[in-house]
Amino acid sequence: MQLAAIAEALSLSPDHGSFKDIEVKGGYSSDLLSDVMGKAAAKSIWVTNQIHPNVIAVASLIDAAAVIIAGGVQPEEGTLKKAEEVGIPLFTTDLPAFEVVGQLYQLGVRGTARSA
Amino acid sequence: MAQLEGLSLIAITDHNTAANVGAVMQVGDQLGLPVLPGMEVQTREEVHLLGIFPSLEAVLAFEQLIWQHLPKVANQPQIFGEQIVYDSADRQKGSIERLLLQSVTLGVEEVGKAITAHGGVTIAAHVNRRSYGLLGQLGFVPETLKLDAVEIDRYFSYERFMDEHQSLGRYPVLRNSDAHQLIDLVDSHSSVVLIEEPSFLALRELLLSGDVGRIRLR
Repeated sequence: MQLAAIAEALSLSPDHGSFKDIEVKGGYSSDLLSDVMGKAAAKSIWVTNQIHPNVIAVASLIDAAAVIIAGGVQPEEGTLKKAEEVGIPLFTTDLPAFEVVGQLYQLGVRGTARSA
Repeated sequence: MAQLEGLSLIAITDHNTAANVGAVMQVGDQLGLPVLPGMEVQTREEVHLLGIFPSLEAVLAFEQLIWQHLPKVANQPQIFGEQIVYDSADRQKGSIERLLLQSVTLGVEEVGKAITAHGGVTIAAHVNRRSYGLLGQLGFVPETLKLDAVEIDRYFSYERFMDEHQSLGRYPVLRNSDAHQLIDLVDSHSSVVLIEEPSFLALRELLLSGDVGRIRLR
C-alpha cells in the first residue's frame, strides 16, 4: 500500500515538509525501541507513543517507511529536526495507538516482523 | 542490615521520592555507615535514571524540581501499596498521597541535566532489563545524554553485557543490589569499588576518572 493513500485515509499530515510517496510493506507497533530495532521489518509503518529523537534513529536503522506518533503527544524538537534531516516521514495523530493500528489493518496493512 | 552484610557505602534511591533519605542518613550517621542520598527517576520514556547527590539538601532540591513534573495522580494503595515515610526510629511518619510509580514529564536528557545541575552523578539503572532500562526503552544511549555510569542488575553477567553492548565500554559499569527489601541487601550483589574513602566525592572521582580497573563486579 502507498504511504500517501494511508496518510489520506487516516487524515495524517507530516510534521515536517512533504514526504516521498513509497510502498508500505507492513506495520509494526511497539514503544520499546530495542524491540523495534530487533524485530521490525524494512518499509514498515511504525506506530508508537515514544517521542524521543532516538525514535528517528531507530526508524532510519530499520529503514521504516514512516513513523506515526499516536495518542496526541507532540514529538520533541530534536525528533522533528532529525526526521527532517534523515528524511523519515513523521506523522502525529490524536488517535490512540490501538485506533491507528486498527485503521491501518482495515486498509490492508499487515503486521511484519523479522524473524530473530 | 547493610552493616551486618559488611557493606561500607550504600545509597538510598527511592522511586521519584527522597522522603526517606534523611532518616536513613541519620541512622547511618549513628552507626558509622556512610549513606549517599539519591533518587531513581522514571523519565517520560519510562527509563529509570539514578541520581546520587553530594548532600541531603541537594537531593531534596532535586526532588522538588522533579515533583513539579510528576503528574498529580493519587496513589491507590490497594494496587500499588502504601507509600510510607519513616523516621530514623523506624516509626511511620506519614504516607505520600501522590502516585510515585509513574513517569515524570521530563525526558532523559532533561532529568540528566537536572541531576548534574544539582551536583549529582547520573547512572542509567538496570540497563540490561527490557523494561524501564535505558537500552530497552530507547535502544541505545542518546548522544545528548551525559551519563556517568551504567548499572547492570545482579542477575546479569558482566561478560555477557559487554559482549552484547560493546559500545557501552566507555562507561563505568556498576552492579548494585537494587534491594527493595532487606533480604535483597546482600554483599555479593554489589560492586567493589576502590576509592580513597566511602564518600560521594570519592565515588564521583572514580566515575569521572574512567579508571574502570578500580571497579570489580562479582
